[in-house]
Amino acid sequence: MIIDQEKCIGCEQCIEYCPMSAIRMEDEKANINQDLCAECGNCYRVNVCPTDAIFRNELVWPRTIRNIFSDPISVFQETGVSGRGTEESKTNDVTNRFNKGEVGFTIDVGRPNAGGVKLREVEKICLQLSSRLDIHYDPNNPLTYLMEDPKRGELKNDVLDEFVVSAIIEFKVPLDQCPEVVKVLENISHHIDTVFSIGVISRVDEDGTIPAAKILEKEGIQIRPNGKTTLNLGRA
Amino acid sequence: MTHTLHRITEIYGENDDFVILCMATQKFNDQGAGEKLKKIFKLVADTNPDNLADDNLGGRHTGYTDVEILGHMGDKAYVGAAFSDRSRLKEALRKIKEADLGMSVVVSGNYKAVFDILKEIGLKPHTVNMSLGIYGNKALLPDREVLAISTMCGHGMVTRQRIENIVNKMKSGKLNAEEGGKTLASTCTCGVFNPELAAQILQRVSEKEKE
Repeated sequence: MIIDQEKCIGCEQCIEYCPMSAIRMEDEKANINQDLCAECGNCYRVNVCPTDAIFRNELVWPRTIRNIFSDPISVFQETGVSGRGTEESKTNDVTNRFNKGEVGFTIDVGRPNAGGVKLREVEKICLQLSSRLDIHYDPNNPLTYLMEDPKRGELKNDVLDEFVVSAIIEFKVPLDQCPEVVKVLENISHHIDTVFSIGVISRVDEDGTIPAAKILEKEGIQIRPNGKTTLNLGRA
Repeated sequence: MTHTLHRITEIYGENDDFVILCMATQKFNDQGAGEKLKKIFKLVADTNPDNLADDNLGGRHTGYTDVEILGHMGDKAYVGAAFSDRSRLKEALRKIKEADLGMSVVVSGNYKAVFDILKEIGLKPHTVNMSLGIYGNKALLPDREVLAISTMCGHGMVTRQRIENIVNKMKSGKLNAEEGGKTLASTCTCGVFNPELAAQILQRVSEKEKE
């Protein structure tokens, strides 16, 4: 995103809309710090500029990544899904991506509201996970497309310094490995300069019990009351 | 929208905070899904949700009318709606169930409460994505009240600076809580930000800061 310095009247109204705090006043004009801008488009979309000074510039690789991961309306062409992740468990009633005996993980790095994250920090988590467990990253997740070596969880060199609002690491493991994944994540949480939120995906048994919840609780891992429940209504 | 499961609007005790998401599955049932999702949008609209949108465009609080949203909806439409009471949620789910359109439906919120609601209307949970909470350098996070509001927009488009600015305006009498909630909802394109709940939290925060 760019602010046309000729048009900007310095009213400062756009500043508070930036989730990355990338808009700053310089010589009485608002200016977007290009290192911090995640190309989310929030400042442009809200139409707050009285002189239409904010505009989208054409992005080239690897900066295009910022927009794909950060703009909620941006669609990742390879999967047709908007946003930085996949449909994960939301359409599991149709796809059965997560079967009984399996557990999915959605690790939202940089969320909530940590002021953005460099993909280098995301890679730290992937490298650690892959060094400890046999992780198969979701092939439809935009992050997996950026991996040089998905077996090692290693990202391509030219994307590591890209700054995004957040990124989601998605994979699934056998049910019994679920606590081990959480332990690895707990461990790395002390060595990264961002936050991440963990989601654990599990099928629900006929009697309403959740196999993954049983295993996690047995290990003393706390589960929040909130969850995202897919109903049994979708069909191919 | 993965982030709806990490909302923390319960900071002041138990409350109702539910989100409905409806969509087709790409490459499985997306052909002709637009018309089905439009029907679902209309059914949900009739139940008076606190917010309603198609994620690919925006919603009621981002400046679009229902007619404009419906006109934009195609096979990749993503219906999002927010509810601050379970009776309206239940009504919306019952209508979607009866319409039997074959689209996937997700309810985000307290999953035990959701399971109870589903049982009451003869539906079953298929899969659940549970939240284990936030890890890492939590010093980077804003205050818990600000976080409770900002996490209602999972994409992070409701910034902490805007929330703080709204609270300041409320304290100086330039804005009331209801206006503040609606103003904040204007940057959430997927319709899951709940302006009613935001207003409740804003009211508490502004009163606390006045003391």
